[in-house]
Amino acid sequence: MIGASKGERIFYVCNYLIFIVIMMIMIYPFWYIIMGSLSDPTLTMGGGFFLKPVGFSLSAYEAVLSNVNILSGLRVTVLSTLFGALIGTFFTATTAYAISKKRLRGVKFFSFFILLTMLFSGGLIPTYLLIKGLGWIDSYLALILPNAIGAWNIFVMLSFFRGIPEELEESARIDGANDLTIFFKIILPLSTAVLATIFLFIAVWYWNDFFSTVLYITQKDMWQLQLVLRDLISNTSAAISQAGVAISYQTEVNAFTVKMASIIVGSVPIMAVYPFLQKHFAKGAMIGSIKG
Amino acid sequence: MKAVIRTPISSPAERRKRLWKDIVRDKYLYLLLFPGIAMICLFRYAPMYGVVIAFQDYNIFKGMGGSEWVGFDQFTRLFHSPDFYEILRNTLLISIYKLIASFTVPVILSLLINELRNMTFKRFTQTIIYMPHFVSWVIFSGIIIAFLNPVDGLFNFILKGVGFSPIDFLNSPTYFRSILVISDLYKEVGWGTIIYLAAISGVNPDLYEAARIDGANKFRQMWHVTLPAIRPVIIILVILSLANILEAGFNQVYLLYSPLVYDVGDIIDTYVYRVGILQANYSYATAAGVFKSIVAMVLIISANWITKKFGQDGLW
Amino acid sequence: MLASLMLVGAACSSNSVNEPNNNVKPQNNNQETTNEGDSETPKGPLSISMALMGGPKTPDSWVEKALEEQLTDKLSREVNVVPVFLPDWSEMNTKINLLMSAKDTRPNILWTGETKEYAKWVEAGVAQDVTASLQKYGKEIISYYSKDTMFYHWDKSGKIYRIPGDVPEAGFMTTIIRKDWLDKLGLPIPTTLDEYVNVLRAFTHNDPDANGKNDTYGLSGDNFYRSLAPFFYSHGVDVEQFIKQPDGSVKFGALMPEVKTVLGLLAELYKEGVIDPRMANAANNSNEKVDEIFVSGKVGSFYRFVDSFNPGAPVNISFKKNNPDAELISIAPIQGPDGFASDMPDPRIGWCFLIVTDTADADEAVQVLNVIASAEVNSLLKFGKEGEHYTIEDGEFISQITPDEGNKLGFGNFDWVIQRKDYANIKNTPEVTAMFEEKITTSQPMRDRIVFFKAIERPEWDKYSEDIKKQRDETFWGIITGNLPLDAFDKFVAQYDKLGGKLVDEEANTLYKTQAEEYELYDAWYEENITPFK
Repeated sequence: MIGASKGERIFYVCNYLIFIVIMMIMIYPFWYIIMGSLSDPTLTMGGGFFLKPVGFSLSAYEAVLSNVNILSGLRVTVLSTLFGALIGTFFTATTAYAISKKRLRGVKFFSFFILLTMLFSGGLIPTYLLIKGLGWIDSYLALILPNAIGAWNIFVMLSFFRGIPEELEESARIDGANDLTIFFKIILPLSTAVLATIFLFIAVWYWNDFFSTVLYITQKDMWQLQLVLRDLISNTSAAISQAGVAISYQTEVNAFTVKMASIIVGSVPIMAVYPFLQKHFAKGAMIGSIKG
Repeated sequence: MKAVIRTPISSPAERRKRLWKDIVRDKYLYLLLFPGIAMICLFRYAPMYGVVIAFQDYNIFKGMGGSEWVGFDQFTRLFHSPDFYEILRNTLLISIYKLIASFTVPVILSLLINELRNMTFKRFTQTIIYMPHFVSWVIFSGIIIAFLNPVDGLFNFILKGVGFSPIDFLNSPTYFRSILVISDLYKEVGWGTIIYLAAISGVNPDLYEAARIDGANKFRQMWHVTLPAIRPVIIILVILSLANILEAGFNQVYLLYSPLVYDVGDIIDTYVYRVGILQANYSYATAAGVFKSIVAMVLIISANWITKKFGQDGLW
Repeated sequence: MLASLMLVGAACSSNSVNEPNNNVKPQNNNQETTNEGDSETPKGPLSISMALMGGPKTPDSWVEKALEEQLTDKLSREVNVVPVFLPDWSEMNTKINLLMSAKDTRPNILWTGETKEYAKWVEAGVAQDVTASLQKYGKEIISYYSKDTMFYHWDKSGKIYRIPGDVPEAGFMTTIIRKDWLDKLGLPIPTTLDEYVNVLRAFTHNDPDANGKNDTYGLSGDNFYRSLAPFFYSHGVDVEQFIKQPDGSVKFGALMPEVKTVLGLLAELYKEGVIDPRMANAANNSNEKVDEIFVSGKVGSFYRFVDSFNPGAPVNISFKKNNPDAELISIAPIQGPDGFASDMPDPRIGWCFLIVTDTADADEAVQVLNVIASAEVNSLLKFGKEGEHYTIEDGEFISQITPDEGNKLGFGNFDWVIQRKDYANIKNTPEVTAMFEEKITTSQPMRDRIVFFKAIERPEWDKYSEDIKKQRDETFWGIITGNLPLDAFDKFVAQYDKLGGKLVDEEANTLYKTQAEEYELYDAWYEENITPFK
């Protein structure tokens, strides 16, 4: 840090300290969950803060990972997440770029057209009837396509595209490029940060989705992962009483630890995606170099 | 920005000719636009007739054609509930507090994260602070209750230790909304930084250099370079979040609230939920949804208009 | 086997009431054709789809095969059961409504909770009348469910469109108390409210666990009013129901003057720290949270499940591990100032139902359900085979498999499909079975006072109840926690009419009267159409 003033050096140190504290606070819920998942199920009913496991047992993970549908759930969700995020990111980008151009005839109409879908929706039954009518029940198409693009993502990308200087496009146009070439050869490479971000957002959405299964899937081996996991703990007395059902007895043991383990299994894979995408977040340098 | 030069007099034929010329000029843009619009038409607009259910006593066997029309009955029922203004006020206040928190704190945090020099530490930090986003409210509310309960919660343990009497935080109208906002912030702030960091990464480094040469220190650089550069993103995100102005966070509130805090914490969605809980009353819930959407739409249009009056780009 | 069915068929009257019928052939309905009703030729295979909500929802499970074996054997034809597993509780209604919306997605037998859609299904003809089938093939079912229970599923036109899937025991909750604390403090088992309050105070202030800290409570539980049953029921009131008044009318329980007395008492106890403050927060309502408090061993009394006394109950296991020297007992309900005492009565209506849809042959569906309803099959589906999956030692049920193995085998998949709570529920030890028996009588006093409404259409209640309940809860818990003065109760009573209470009361009284009239008709119908076939 050549040339850093004393004030700046203090700032840097404080910054690190602040984040160490923040990280310790932020990691606590996951710590709680991991410790809970490794605990002995008959001892966890006493509650507590779970700074360390209460007893020790891998029975929860056994229960989760040996579930009959865990592999199929994983397969369904991984495939729909991958394809959904790819398709979604790409078409979000094409749509957002098109409406970022003020010269486009009808751009205000299209923007409003897209915006309305964020505010109003036909609801469950008409959507279900549509998918059923298309013959997509029990198919990956029903899990992937209906929600691939959304207004929110389009507008966010739109704001990023607007931040790309016009001069870059104009100089390319002088060299004979058309809109398509500009989009693929200039805009996209410069937008890796927002593309990675939207890809992450869409991927997380698909990964966590379970409702599409409720609506469109009947075969248990096509259930998305999150529904399989929810199901593992759905008939626990906690879930039942939350549903408002006055049940007269308690159902079974080890619900708590299984719940914790299913969260770990259900979220760790997707959480690992962001670190891999982070390298795309340092592209500011590119704009400068192109200008030069 | 290319200005479109219009000649003072233009006949319909000339206007049509110019329109066609523009469309041909932008044909590739329309090509890019087409798939997205097609998907939106199919998956969002084709089922849109369902909004009509709000005005009916919907019977799935008779379909929309056969179900009774009740006109605005569902809406008047909602508006005439004795606590309507209370729940509306709660919904708005909680939303607004959350809105303010959700675009100030992540921005500040992003700016600070951006200043971390050690790459590994930076990546580590970014990953850890967004972990709470993946913890569902069901689990997280359990943790909050464990921390805040008046018998053996951590906070009361500390309070008792320094001589104060324990406070039943979750049952206290004074604290309840703050608990909602702070816990929501805790859960989502890390996730919120992702997009701002993406925006910050796109800032031209030459601008920092220029500022540094002009003698600006770290903070002035942040204020004069970084913030203005990401301002368009912030504005768009604020306008977009107005779409959720009447969503104060159903899951969170439902899991944490209690009769003693109904007057500050009961929101539209929790009220509608209780009314409909065993009744599968589609129309009532749909009517509430339509009401929320209309309010959101009005706010977004106004916000967009205000933004453009200030010379910034809005959503359109 | 088939011959006896034939005899039953011969003795049966057909759907029309009052006609002795000479029709010898049992009526095989027209939809799913397998044969022409000649009962001597073996019937073709039967495929029956059932919506299921219970258990681990394991596909192709051991339990499913076991059931198919039983059905194949008892119905003398090959039976294939096709489970349609419903998703999680919060999405369950959505899925049920979607499944029922079109004939090609409707299961043969639907399992559902209470829902307003039921009336629409009946109207649309999607739910079939099963009276005739019950008469012919439903002996186990109609013998197990009491006349009073079936009243709630009887349509005035003389039809039965749904069968209860799970009816809880007549009383399944009881006053639980720490016997070892009573002994340590030298107190007798309380029988009256005054004695009970003394005991609770002693539990709070006299350090019964002798650890030198003031950290025990007299009473705890969840935020539901039933957890305060010893107080409310000893005064003969239930604040969530309509109570029969001496003058023959019915009144909303929350308005009765005795409630004010109870609230005053509770407020006093809360102030003294006898009542656990966590009870006042609905966020604590998950059984998980209450179990935590239970297991912690710091509370002297609960009003909770009889099932907790089963040695195999999870909360029991955890409690014993955490408090090895503690002893819990269940006591008779506390007597109020008038000597009145009652445990919480279950309405005996059932909280979930089975509906035979128009995609099935009603006779065949009822045959399947009847097999499941038998004690032998009921136990088999829930617990497995004796010797293999469990053993009974000294009347106590000992599982030989881990819960996880049980999940893989599918135990519980057919829960709530005519689930028996009697001797077929072998999980109950003899002591617990005796407790349940006892609760039948101890819950009768309140059962006699509460009106359990049959009508599904209660428009005024639907319109106003939510706001009334909200006001009630804010007021009552406000008073108990000391945030509101006791006369807030009077304000609530005064406000009741403005909140729509008058209309609600009128409707309740009308329904009560018509229900009584309807019961008379039902009584006659039942004696004629059901009793002879038990």
